[in-house]
Amino acid sequence: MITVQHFLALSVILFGLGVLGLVIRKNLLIIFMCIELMLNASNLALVAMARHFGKMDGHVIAFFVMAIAASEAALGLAIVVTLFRSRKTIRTSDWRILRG
Amino acid sequence: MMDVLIYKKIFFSGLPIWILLAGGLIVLLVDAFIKNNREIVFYLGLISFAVSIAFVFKRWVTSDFVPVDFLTFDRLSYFFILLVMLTGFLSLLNSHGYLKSGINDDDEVILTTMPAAFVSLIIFCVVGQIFLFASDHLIVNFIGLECLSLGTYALVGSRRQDARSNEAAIKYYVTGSLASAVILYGIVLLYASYGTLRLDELAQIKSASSLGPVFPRVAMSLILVGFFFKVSLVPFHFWTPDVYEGAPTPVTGFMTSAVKIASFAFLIRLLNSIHFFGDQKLVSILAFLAGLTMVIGNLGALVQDNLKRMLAYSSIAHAGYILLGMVACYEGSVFNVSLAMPVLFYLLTYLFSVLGAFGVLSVMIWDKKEACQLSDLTGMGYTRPVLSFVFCVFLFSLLGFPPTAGFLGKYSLFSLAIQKGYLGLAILGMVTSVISAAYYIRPLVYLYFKGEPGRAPITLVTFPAMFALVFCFLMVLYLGLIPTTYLKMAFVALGILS
Repeated sequence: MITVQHFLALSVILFGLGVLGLVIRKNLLIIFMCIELMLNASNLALVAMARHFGKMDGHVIAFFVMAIAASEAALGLAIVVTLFRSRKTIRTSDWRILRG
Repeated sequence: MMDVLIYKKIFFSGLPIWILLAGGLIVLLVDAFIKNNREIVFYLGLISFAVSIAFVFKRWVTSDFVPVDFLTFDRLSYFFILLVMLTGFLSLLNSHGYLKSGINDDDEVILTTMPAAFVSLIIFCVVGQIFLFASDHLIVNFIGLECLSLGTYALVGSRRQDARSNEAAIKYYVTGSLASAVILYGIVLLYASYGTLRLDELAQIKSASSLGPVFPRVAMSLILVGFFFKVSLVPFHFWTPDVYEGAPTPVTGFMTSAVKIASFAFLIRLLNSIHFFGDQKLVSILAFLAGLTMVIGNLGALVQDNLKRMLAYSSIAHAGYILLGMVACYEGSVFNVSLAMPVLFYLLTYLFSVLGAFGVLSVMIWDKKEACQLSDLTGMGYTRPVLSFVFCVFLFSLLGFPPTAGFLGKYSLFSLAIQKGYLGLAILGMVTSVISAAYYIRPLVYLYFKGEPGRAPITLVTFPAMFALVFCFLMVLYLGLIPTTYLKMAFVALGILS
């Protein structure tokens, strides 16, 4: 029997994987995927809990989160493209201009 | 029939915000149809800010607003709406020179940004900020936060040909998105615990969550950590100097003032509503972070040679002072919003000082780049006497020197902290303020006492930029000398007076 706790556990694991990936990976595109993973972990928990409570608001909020995730990805990719034009690399270890 | 009435109420009680929003959309439309529109969109943006500020101010005076459903238009919200609209207005004025600056290889001034995008992004950021704190539904708050954050990422990267601006944008994007995702997960865990996201309903909850006592605490911690990222409190501040240095100067000014004000406004609302954290631990953690932030922010600023980096560390330190004020608002484990007057007043004084300082930096250009090294200032006290004097006044206000606004701001914060028994923290705050004098006075030494002026920076003091500087300068002196009106405003915002 799959209960709401199982969904929550999965969501926590996905969120943790997202944070872990964001911290240890060096490739910007992978980092973006990790951010998406974190947002989708929130979506999973939202939908599972909304079904558990028998309310509609969680389902609706999940759509808002999807829209936010999409706009974040669009802006992030735009920034990556401009960065790639000036730097020819998308590895985070190559950011050296700003430090002090 | 009922629905129509609600929409009507939402429309009328939020009218200043809709006017601002319409201004931003018109700016984008103008961009589609008119070429060479720099001045047109700039003044359109200014006019929409001016009209909505006038509206907000009039409503503020006459108390002409009602909370509608999840939009909490009350005195506190309207005070902060006034504050963030002023920051938007002043940042836009500051950026007038920047919109036309940018210097090509032949030392000619050329246009490097898309002015319509810049102006409308500032407007949308301000609208996002308003929804961040003027709502008591956590998802609406979150959408406001995202609206603000996405706009700021784009503004930071708006100097597209500049590798520094690009790098700052991507650094801010990655850390900011992490913070947003963490905040969202905290909100979702709150929903999982109690099945509601309305702050007023969460405030009523006495019973433990069905999922156990750990869940709501973890949720609350995640939300707080995310916002500590956004206001750059100390263990979460590492992105701040890099991003503030790489961003175009007027945008840095906007970030230091507006983003902080809106986030602290939301934190006041959140801590005021959610009591079920319910123990002394949270207060001790906040007090510890405040102390750490004051120390590290001020020490970090001491070793900087870049003015923008220095002001970045100084803004970290100021976040620490503001958090100190918020800690002092706790009575036992309950946040008492009616004590928050010093915090509100401090935010007001901080706004004018920091926007003034960044306004001065925005008009200086040096050898195809922004003049922001300390050595660029050498001898400028004699070649640009008025600008240098005004800059010194803003720095003194950030330091908290008596005849300026910053002094009264810090004074009221520290006296609140002492009254509430946080003597140690208040003393730490005062000691770090004294330390901060060392780095606030260094630019002054370069301006006046470092020998002969070299080549002076090119200054682009256009009329709007000058207007912003004069306005900030007068407000800094006015708030420092005759603060009663605005102290009363802050009291009224909290509903202590009417």
